[in-house]
Amino acid sequence: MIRWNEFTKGIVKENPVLILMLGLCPLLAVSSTAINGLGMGIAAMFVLVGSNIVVSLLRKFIPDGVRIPVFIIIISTFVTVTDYLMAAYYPSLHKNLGVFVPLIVVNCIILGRAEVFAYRNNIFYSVLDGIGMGLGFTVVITIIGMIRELIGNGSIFGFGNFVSYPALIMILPPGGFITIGFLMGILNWYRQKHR
Amino acid sequence: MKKVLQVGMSLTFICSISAAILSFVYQKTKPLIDLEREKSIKIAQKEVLPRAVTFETNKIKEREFSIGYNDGDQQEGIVMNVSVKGYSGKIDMIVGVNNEREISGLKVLQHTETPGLGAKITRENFLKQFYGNKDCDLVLKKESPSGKIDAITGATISSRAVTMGTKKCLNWVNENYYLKDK
Repeated sequence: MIRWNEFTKGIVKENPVLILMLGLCPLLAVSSTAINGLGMGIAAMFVLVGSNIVVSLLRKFIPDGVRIPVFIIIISTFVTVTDYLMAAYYPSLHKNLGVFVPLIVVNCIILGRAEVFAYRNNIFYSVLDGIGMGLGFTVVITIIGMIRELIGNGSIFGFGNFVSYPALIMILPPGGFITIGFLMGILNWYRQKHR
Repeated sequence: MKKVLQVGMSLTFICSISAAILSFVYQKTKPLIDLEREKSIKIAQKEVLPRAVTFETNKIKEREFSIGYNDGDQQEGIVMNVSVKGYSGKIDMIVGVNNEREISGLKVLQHTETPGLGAKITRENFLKQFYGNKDCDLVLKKESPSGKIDAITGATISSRAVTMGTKKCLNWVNENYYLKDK
């Protein structure tokens, strides 16, 4: 019996951003346009799955007292290796996603999932958890990017010009806080109604 | 005491493995990354000085630049890198100056400006304004009536930085380098 809920929980029920409130720093920094949000989401998902695999593999060897430093070493090694490999073998991808890669290190979703999930579960579920949480993060950051881009710049994914007088504040940091607050409010309202 | 030693050993072990992986990957990928960077610099040079075919690096007073030649070995202009202080960090640009001492092209290679605002300095419709201008025109419209450059909304500092950097290049060319045929 496969516990599929390990996969689906990250998308709504335990959404890393809106429910667990993790990874808000890169979320606010990068979500000013939809493309940026999508790029950051994909890059973070990749590193999240990778670090979950490594942490889950090594969970028997990592001493309990120093597990957090070890997680940090694993994650930063993984991020740096990803950055180098991408720059060397996929330069055009690196040109678009490269700016987000160093930002992933400060994404506490990755450290959080390593500590809460991958350290206590086997590889298969750790991968499922990584993909689910990564998807949850990607979806939210892309939606926030779309909203902020539409209101603040009048376009979606860099195309079109739908708003004649864009509200600049939405692209600036306050716009990120406002959007995220509204999304959290809507999700909580929905969850309370359907409890 | 024994436990401390044990924990220390395992931490040391994990750190050295990670260091080994990092240095291995770094060594394997460095030549490829350098090659890619050189290639992208060559492409950028060609973009900012479209009429030139070959480029030759040169140096005057410790300042490096490249001279561009067309296929008849006629000098078409020079290309130089410049880096200025933007809103949140360095902006690295490459600037092309043709024989008429006008800006023939301009490209932002690397920057850390605000995404969605200052980051728009990389867009063609902002940079296009610089093409064909001489140094006296290179001021923001909002700062001088003779200015020719429209600043990006909400990103005056970034726009000004690019303008200053371009102007610096043109000034340097006018002072130090006399464009002439080979």
